[in-house]
Amino acid sequence: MKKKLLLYGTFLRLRILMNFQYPTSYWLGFVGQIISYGATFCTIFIAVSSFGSLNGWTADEVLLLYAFELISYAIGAFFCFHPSTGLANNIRSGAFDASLTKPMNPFLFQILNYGQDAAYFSHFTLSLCVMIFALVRIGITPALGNIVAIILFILGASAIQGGFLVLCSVFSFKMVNENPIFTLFFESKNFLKYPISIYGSGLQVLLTFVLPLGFINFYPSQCLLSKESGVFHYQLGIITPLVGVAVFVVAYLLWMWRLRHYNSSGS
Amino acid sequence: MKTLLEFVKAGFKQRIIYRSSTLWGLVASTLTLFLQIRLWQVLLSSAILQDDRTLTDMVAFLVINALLASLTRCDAAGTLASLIGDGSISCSLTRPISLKKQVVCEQIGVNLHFVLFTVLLPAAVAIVIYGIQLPDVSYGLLFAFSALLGAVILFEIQYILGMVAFFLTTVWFASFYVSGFMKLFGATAIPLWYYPDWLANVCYCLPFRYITYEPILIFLEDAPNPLQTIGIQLLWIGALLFLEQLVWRRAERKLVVQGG
Repeated sequence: MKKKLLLYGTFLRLRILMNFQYPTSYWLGFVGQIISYGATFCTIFIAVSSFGSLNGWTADEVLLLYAFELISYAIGAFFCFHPSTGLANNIRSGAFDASLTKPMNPFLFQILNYGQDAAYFSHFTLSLCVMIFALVRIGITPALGNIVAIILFILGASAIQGGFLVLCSVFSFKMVNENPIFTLFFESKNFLKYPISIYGSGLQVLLTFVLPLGFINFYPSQCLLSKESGVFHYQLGIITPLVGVAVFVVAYLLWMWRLRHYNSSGS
Repeated sequence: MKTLLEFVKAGFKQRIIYRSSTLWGLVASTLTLFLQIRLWQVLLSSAILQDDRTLTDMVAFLVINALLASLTRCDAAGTLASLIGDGSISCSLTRPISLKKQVVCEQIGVNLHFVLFTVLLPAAVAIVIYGIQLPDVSYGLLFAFSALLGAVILFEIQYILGMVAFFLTTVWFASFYVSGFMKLFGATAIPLWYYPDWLANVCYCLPFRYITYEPILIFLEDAPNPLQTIGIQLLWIGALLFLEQLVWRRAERKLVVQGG
């Protein structure tokens, strides 16, 4: 175990050092991402506050919703974005074949070697600030129970985000030139900028049981605010951490199953 | 001209080979458009704001916004960075047409493919379902010219940002600045008429609203003075071309080809 932790620490240090290889670019990127996602927060706030509320959700509550989405994406993508989106390229170039010769679990190697991207610190910082701002304005007290619940919700949602990235990458074993499933996943996440209760009940069921994206932010926020909205009871959000574990485990098993049927591209 | 068309064709063909990407792109853009329409349906049904805009106005805004955003899509910054990063810029610079024209023509090809196969169908369906009125001929022509100028403004901004790669080697962050400014100051996410006055005033002083928002107002026959809008767009293009020349002169001296 100690050896594994040491190995993890070494990979982490190397990845962070890589990010800071061009410090000016890193910090310009940090500011750029804050501007880009900050603009999204601003436009959401302007739209909802112009109309007073959105299907019973105030502008602050919608900000909280999007902050949950972004903070969980920051954590999930920190580990899984590059290993997942870069898989097709690695298969094509032959780098993936080389990684299979390493004496460790190939999935873990992908995460350690290609994940841990410090670019996501900006998403995390911004969404944490907005989340605190929204929570204070809504009047959620910083009681221990609330803090623990928020942390568990974020971890569960992060596992869902990471799990979906891994699930999308499973298609890269087949589509080695370009994997369009990622585009579909990122576009589907537009559903999460606003409460899913504004959509029809069929779509809500889909986003709850088939593609459980609703557990990334809608159900956790609903549970935290004790807010009745949508088809299901607001306490459904309690199972967010379990949904997170389930999505990630399914994604991992599918990835490993696909790996067993993997044929090299020959590069 | 023939050479330029070849670059447009190359950009178009680059995308045509990815058929499944095109299909899923169509699904994604349909999803995004109808999702935005649903959002505005819910917002406009709210009784708190007494707004005289109808859902048809908003759908027209969203559809034209989607079409213009696709036509004016530009990753000049990314293209330049990749040319500089892998060294192929040395090859591009030796070609008989300028680097800028090569980048523009390829981008036009990519955008035409995107509009034709990904955005046009959902846009046409929305136009029919929501009965969006097309403008009369004079406004239509002014809109087309203004949209073209908008595309030039966006390209210039992207191209100038792309040239930062000559100094920093990498500009992966450029798209974040452009998307952030376009969203907030260009009113691509929500129309400017919902903005608080102070922010709308800030937007007047920047070029971003002249990329898609002002052309859309001309399409909706809602622009108080379309000729003035076109005049301001031309002024912005002049200013950006001047800035581009300044940066290019410095960038030429900085070019480092990293092996390639």
